[in-house]
Amino acid sequence: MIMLLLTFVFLVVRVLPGDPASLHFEKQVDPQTLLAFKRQLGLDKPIEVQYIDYLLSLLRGDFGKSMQDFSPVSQQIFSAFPATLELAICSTIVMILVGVVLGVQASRSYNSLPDHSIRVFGTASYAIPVFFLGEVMIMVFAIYFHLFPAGDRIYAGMAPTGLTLRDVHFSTGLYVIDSILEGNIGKLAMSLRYLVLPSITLGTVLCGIFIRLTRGNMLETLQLDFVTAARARGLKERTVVYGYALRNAFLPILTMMGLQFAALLAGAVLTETTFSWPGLGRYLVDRVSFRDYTAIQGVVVFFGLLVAMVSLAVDIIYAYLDPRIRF
Amino acid sequence: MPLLDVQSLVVEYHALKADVKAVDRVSISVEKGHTLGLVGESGCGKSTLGLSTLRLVPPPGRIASGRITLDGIDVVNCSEEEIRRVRGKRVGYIFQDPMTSLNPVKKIGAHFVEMIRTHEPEVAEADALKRATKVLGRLGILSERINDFPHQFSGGMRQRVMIGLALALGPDLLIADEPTTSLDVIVEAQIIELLKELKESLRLTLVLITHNIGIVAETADQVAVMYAGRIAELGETDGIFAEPMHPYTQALLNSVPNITKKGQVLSWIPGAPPDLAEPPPGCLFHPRCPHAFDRCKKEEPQLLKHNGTEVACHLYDKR
Amino acid sequence: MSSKRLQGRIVVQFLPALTSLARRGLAGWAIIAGAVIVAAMAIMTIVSPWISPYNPIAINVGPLLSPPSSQFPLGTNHLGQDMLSRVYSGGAIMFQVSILSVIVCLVIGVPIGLFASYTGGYTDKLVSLVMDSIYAFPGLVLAIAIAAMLGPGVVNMALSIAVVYVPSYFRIIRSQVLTIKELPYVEAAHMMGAKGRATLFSYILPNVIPSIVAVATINFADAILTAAGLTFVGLGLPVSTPDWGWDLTYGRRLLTSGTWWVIAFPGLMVVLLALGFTLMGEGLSELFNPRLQK
Repeated sequence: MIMLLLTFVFLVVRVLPGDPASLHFEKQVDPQTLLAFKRQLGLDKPIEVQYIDYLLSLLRGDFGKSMQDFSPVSQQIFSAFPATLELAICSTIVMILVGVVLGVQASRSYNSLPDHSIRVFGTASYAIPVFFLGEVMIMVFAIYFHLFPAGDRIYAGMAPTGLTLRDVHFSTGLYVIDSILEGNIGKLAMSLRYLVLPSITLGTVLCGIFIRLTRGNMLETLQLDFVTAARARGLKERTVVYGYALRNAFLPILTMMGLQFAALLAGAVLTETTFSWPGLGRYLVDRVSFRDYTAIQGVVVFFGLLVAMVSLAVDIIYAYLDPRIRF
Repeated sequence: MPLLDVQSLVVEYHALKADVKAVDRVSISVEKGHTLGLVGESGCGKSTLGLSTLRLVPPPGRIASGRITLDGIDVVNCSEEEIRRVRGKRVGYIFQDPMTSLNPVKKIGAHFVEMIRTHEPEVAEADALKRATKVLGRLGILSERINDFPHQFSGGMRQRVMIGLALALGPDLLIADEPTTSLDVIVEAQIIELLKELKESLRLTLVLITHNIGIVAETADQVAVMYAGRIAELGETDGIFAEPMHPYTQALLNSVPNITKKGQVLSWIPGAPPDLAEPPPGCLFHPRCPHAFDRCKKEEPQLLKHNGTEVACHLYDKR
Repeated sequence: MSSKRLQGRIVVQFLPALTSLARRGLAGWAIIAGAVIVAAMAIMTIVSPWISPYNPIAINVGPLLSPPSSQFPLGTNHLGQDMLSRVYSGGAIMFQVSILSVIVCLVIGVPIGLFASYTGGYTDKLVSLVMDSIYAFPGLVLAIAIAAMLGPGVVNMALSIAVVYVPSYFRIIRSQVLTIKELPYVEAAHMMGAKGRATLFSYILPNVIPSIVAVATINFADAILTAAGLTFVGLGLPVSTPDWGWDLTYGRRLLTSGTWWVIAFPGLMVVLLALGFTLMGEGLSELFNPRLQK
């Protein structure tokens, strides 16, 4: 399946437009310069050879060279990746928290106003273009209330540097973790501040399906006998709902998380653009505006590989957890 | 004053076509130390009645009207916190199927600890476990088993665990909803004996909900026969068994096979319980009643006293 | 039949459908609400040439960047264009792109879905593999890649979007076909001598149609959002056509200077339209595909 993906991307970027090289140049360019350009990027070889090259270099971790300055795309990908990863993690946290809590609330007030409004919210939140929500967030919280910053990842020069033990330097690229490693509370606070708006934006737009999942699961579980029996013993409602019933929903939520990853990435592209978040998404958009087709190809391939890896991981985790949970 | 007093209780389920009255204007009253047997077919509303005394009716069901007074507390109108404190501590509830009523991923001991510490947070975990072991020992469960999971017990043992949970906090009232239905006959007899013995020694007030009229005969002081959400007959056990008045009660008693009568033809009640979404007019039992006459098809019978027993049947309504 | 009679008949047939929908609970209401919203916006777009106070592309009809006022209820943008008129007519592109992409999806996805799942065997496996690969991929990213290659324009945008969403159609059709294929009455038809293609069209297709409708409706919403996303990223249409997506994109830059009305109103329109389709689609889904995984 990965092979298919890679081939597909190749087809799209190399074959579809006919000649990505000449598309790169807006104006007419003389054939000599064009040929030299192509040679630099390996675009002058016959298409079958290009395809093999493409696959082989991927195995080496080489995602191609940028059309803009012939620098290796992989370098830029790996420097932009942590930002996207951090955003993805935080958005997932928001998405699940909001989704589960609202789902639980909806199931508890079945068929009444809170239930209906939450369900409508869940459906409607998906209909809001993520960049519009982002702009609204910026408008309200950053510009009007001055509560949160309007963009970027951190104040210039303030990036946490991680742990430095004598000569060994260790950093993850995730600012939250790096500032903890560095022991700098100020930077930690700042990284979190910058993360708030983008994560909430992306998390809200995608939480709808978790609301629906949790609600459905809870409705089923709350009917079961041992829930009524637990209540009959006088256990607090909170214990019953979260301790007993939620356990059941755990596994499906995990699986759904895996499935939503692709949507998360897609949303991240727009969110990063909106908030000027220096991640892979923004990189992709940048490259598009520069007509840097080889870089676009590299990034898209990376996205594909990322999604494939995550679904593989989810499958493995599921297989591991499943027999254990069945008594 | 009765420990449990139910007045004109109506419990409704909102179904697609109409509102179904699972319990329709039922009034029962249990004095301290007495035992009430609540008898009826599956679906007659007796379980719903039991659940409603602790406000445990699951949605879409709800208590529509009526009053339930439990040891002075107004169950219908009191706060969520008040009724929560009553559950488990002042009223113990035994469910029909102990396998599905116990949390499969929790050890037996943990069930007790959780419950005890919810009601009495000052109690240390070790002490709670000790109390649990003591209670279970009383019921015939060895102390080493306190760390086992529900699925590791047999049906009868699980039900003892349930009883243990119901009694652990020393309640005055015990409601047993079909406690022996999922058990085989021998174990059933054991459990019933156990309940009787506990009732005596702990001076419990007991509400026994069952479809098995035989159990009721040996344990209850009072019997209430329910049909399709309403009370058909209500009175002292001896009186009802000696002289059952309502045709439904008679049919119930007749359908119990008697081992001494040879060549007995097994009798049953023809027809099926009514669809409560579209109930028949008049007396709900009339389509299946061998003594039905004109009035039965039009007018709902009232629960009236006749010879010391209350019965809802036009046969005894000479008005 | 006189036209009044005909109208009466349509209304009479319409009402019971409406009431039966309303009785289906939340899902029914969602469908009705969604349909109303979509219809309203469609009408608004269609009559926009007549109700727009100004030409939406005409520049300098008013002072630049003026906030909402009585003369310009929705304000003006940096080119002096009237926002109200732009809002009225901006939906046209959205509708065009989404309708086109849905058509393409239907034309490509439905036959492939029917054929592959009905034939089974290697064909089915191969096609499923291709479709699953596309489906698993982050939609917008793929659309961006394709649109970047194809260039701007309504048709290209529609095609990019269509490629991304064909797999959704395929999956629903496939799961439905697989179920229906096994049903006794299809077997019975075969035994009576019906040939493959005939069964496909007369038996299976009619039963698959409700699910297709549900998917298509949600697809509209996705198409709109993806189209907006593509425009946002710069892969949209040339500047002159009035387009909510374009206003959204440009309005961004104006936001920091406090000019909120350029982005707010078109944005609201996009949200409403997507919402309308989503409500309809979700409602239909609940009614037709009760346990389908998304």
